[in-house]
Amino acid sequence: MYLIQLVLSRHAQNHEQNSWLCVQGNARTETRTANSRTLKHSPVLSALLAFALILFTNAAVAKDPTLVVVDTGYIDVHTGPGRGYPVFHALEKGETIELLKQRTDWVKVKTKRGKKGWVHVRDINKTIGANGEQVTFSTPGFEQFKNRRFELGFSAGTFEGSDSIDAYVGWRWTKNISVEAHATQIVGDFSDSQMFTANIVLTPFPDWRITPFVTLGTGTIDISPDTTLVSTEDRTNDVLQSGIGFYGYVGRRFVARFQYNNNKLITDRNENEEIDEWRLGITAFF
Amino acid sequence: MATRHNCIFLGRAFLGLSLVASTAFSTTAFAQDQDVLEDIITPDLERREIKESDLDTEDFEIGIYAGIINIEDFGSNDVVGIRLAYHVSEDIFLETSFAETTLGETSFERLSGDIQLLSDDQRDVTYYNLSVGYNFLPGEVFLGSKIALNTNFYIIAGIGTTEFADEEQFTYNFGAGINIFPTDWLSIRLDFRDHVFEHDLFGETVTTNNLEANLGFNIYF
Repeated sequence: MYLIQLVLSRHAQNHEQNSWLCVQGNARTETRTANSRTLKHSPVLSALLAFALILFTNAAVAKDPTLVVVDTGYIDVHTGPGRGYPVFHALEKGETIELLKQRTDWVKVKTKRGKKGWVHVRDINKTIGANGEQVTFSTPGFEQFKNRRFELGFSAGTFEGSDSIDAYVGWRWTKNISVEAHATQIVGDFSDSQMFTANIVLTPFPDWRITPFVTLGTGTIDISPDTTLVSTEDRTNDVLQSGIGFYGYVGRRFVARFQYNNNKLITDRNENEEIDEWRLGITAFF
Repeated sequence: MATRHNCIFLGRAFLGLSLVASTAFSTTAFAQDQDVLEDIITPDLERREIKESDLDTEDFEIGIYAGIINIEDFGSNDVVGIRLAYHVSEDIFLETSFAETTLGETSFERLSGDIQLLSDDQRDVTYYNLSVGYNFLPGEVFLGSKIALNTNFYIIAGIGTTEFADEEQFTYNFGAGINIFPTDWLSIRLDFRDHVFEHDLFGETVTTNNLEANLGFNIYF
């Protein structure tokens, strides 16, 4: 994970130099100017790098083993992290197993004899730690929603008649206040736009299943008129965003999110533009 | 050119956002911080509880893929892409992907000699999308008598945009595929997808179905 952060910070530096090939870290890139080819292949290139790094980090895991003892009649072990994968082994009461890693609600375990398989967290909670610790793995639910730290979501909507797609990450600062970064693509009949905003979100009743929020944000919008019309310049405007909406808890790690935004585009002209935007989306939380 | 840059930037931004999110709550980072504190302050105190934060989680997946996409009227063309997914449960995952291809010639262009409908730049097509997938039919495939590999099928649908002839088009995607797991953190994935969008390049607005088949490698982390 640290390596990924490193990659991201390298990317940030490189972006200032307008060349994404710098991730290769050689002198050649210093002199390379940004052209369409360089930019075009850069996302794939950076993904390849991230891909390789993750491969390394996956291979190198050195931590104290987490040992637990089975405290129930028996525990089924599946070949894969899902209820549909066959049960190929049963752990006996009193058997010590090592917990290796978790994927969704499944934990990969290793027996003393080296057998590896997947056990549901429901069954992991029927074990006790090798030193008598309590084992409490939680499954995602409404309690987790109330205590969430991060959100990752996307939505579709209309932006004054145009289609829009939005993706965001959010970090919950306090129970009532969170901050979000949004990236929005707007596809219109006459122009395409990208909008990036940073928002503060206020949730007055965080313990409700359907809970309202208000948001204030600021950012920029790049508007590119379609080229088939009279050739016009792209323009970039600052945008002030105020919105209101609500979350509806769906289940597990999901909430639905419905939102209305008023976007005020700060223009050079005498009048600022106001644009209404409606969004409906789904959010996963952690 | 500007739209291309923007589109790429947005695609990159989506990937970046997701990566930042994934690293931000890295359980290993938390665990290490705690270890350091425990070493300094309470060297003799044992852990009272074992929780999910004691384990590394592998709910994210990053992958690369390559294949063939058929853009209606423009022939079949190579496509390469990247994807990032988050597994919400054993059944459901959220996915974002970004890919690029180059349009071939329409039959009109081939027959008419040197008339070109699009410039070279306009022939570069990129798409990105945000999709929700559902895993089903988990199972195994057998290689000989000793090796069994886990597999699963999935269906997937989502929204996104396609930059086609220098214009963004709102795009729906629908598809299905199969994952084969040589190990539990690596999957080989065969994906079939229909990208549906409208364009008015030939005068009137038409809805196009653009089929893609690709093979990819994905790593869980």
